[in-house]
Amino acid sequence: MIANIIVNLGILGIYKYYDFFATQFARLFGIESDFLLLHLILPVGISFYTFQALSYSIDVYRKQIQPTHDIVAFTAFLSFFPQLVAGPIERATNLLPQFQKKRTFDYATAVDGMRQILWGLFKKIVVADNCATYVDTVLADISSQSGSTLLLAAVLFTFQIYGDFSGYSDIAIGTAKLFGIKLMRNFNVPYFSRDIAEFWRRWHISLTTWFRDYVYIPLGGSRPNIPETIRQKGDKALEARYTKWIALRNTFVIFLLSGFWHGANWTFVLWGAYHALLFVPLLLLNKNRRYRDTVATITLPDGTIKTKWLPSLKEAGQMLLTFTLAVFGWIIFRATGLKTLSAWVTGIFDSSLFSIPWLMNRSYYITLAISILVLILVEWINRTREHGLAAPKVSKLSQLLVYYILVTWVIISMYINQKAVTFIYFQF
Amino acid sequence: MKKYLLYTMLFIIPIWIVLLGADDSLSHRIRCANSSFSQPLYDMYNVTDSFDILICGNSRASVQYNPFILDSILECNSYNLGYDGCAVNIQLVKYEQWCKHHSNPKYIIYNIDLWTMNETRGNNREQIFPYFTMDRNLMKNMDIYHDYTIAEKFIPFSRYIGHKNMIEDILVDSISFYKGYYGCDWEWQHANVRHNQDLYKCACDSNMIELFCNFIEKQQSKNTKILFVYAPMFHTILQNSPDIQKMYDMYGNIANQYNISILDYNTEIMCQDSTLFYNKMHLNQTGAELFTTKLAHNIDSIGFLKK
Repeated sequence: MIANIIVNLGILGIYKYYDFFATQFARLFGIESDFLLLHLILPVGISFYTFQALSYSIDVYRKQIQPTHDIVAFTAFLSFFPQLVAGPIERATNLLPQFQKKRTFDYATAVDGMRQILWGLFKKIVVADNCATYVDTVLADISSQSGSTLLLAAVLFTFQIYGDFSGYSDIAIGTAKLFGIKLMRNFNVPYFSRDIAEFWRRWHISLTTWFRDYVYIPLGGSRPNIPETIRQKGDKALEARYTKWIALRNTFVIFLLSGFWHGANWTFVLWGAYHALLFVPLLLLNKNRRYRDTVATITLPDGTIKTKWLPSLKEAGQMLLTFTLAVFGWIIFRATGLKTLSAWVTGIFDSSLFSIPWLMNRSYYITLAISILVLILVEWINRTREHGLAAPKVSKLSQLLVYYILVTWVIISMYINQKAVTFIYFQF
Repeated sequence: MKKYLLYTMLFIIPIWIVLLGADDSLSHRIRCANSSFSQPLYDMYNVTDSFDILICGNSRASVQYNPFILDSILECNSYNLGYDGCAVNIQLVKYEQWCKHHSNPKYIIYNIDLWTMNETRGNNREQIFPYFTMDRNLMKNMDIYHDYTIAEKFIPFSRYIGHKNMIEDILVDSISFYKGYYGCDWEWQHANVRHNQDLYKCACDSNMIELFCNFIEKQQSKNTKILFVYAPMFHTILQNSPDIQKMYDMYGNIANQYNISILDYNTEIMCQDSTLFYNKMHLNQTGAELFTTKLAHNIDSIGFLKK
């Protein structure tokens, strides 16, 4: 087991982190780093399939699944093309059995898959790529931008990364459905979260749960075993303090690891630490599991979930605050280095924050605003469903009209966008 | 499964029809645009006359050989088939297209230079944008040299995706175009440009040379007479290029092998005069007119045209 983990993480470490640590080492001792560096090209999706392979090994070791002797099913599990390069990071317990059993074509699942692909394309091409045009232009010359422009870029990057990554996940999950494979959900309307703990239950779910199951819980999670030396004292307050301390430590560990998983850059580590810090008050006040339902919903006695049209004022305020905190988190994430981060943050809190932000052109701005509004509206209406276009409750004709509008919008956006923007998470 | 495939097809058909319409409409607008990108190919399909002389080569042919002057002095009918940004492989595809719509020329003036044998791959794709749906044969030929995806070849409108700005530039462009020639009345642009030796290397790609030789053999078998011309380059290229002698040797060998005359204008005094060029490789309109006049008189004097 240990050998397996060392080999898997060793490969990931050499490709992804070796040059980073070599540079830091050289900097620390003031030596020339060039001869230490390997300059290896990072294989696409290495972080995703390494974690997937690890999950299989650990689950077998824990006897949660039987080791498979079906080499075809195993290699298909490791390299299933829709989710190979950017997830969702699947568990062997979910995906492997699906390759081993006979699959039959299901019309409803395939149609739902097509709907999900279309919604994913809309999020990626219409929302994310259009946001990218503005964000990339602004960040290319960060020092000469006004505070309001930099803030707008941060907000648009928040939508870009969501559209980009959740769009990819929708395309991957939808494509898998065409083959009769059900992949795990990766995003669950994260920007409608009421606190940062809920945000992390809804954002990149496959990675978050991976760290929870394979790092957080083995480290003791939030209910660690109390050491005998403390237990013998019979001091309940001390035991509670110890439990809280371990939970805090474990929270920091998984957030820092999660940040570092994204790339060998201090900004990612800082991003992880930032979210860990936001998590701390909730953990200390035992409020990190407050919101396990979806915002503005009522669960009826028969178990059905009824959605309200609008959130309460309190919920709206909580969502806005969580969104704002996420925006600042994405600034740390997007900055290419600590200098850029500093320039971006200080640039925002400038007297020019209240000036009119730079807008590329009127038609671009209007189109972008409408596309983001559509994204928010559709996801709000369908927040309890699997994806934006899932199980529509309108007539067939209206459905068809919506699909054609989305297809047309996607094609026009592709024509207008000067360059195809690659998926952000391909770099990880 | 059958129901799924049928419904998917029924869903796609209207999209396909709309894309086909959009493709045709945009292609038509590009074809009609007065642009240096679209005109050289489009005009070729439009002209119906037969021509005695064809001028072949890259942009150094299309902007430097004025057919009006050649026609006036030599009392003939000439057409400039020069093709911007393309080496011999693409130049010959254009020539083949020409031959499909016109009779064979009696004479070919081939502009040769450092860049002629440098295989072109994928650049200047906008030059053949509109012609895909118009001419499947051209598409097939260009496919050898250009990196078009399967989607771009078979899904209507897909080749225009991501090129909105370039298409807008093409649509607003305005050039004075005459029988394939467009003189560029521009000022000298290379005053402060440092000499980059890599730009002035002579490629001797064996595949390109073979292609070129096959073309010569084929034309000679049809009794088409060929003349090689070194049009003027700015003197600094001649002084600094590491491959000038290599270029002369390569074309000299080909000319000897096929008994082709060469006219060399690289030693002319005009190569020293930056007022006649807009950059180191290209004469401006004034320079082009001066050069074409000299060329016409020289062609006359060496008796290249059979009277």
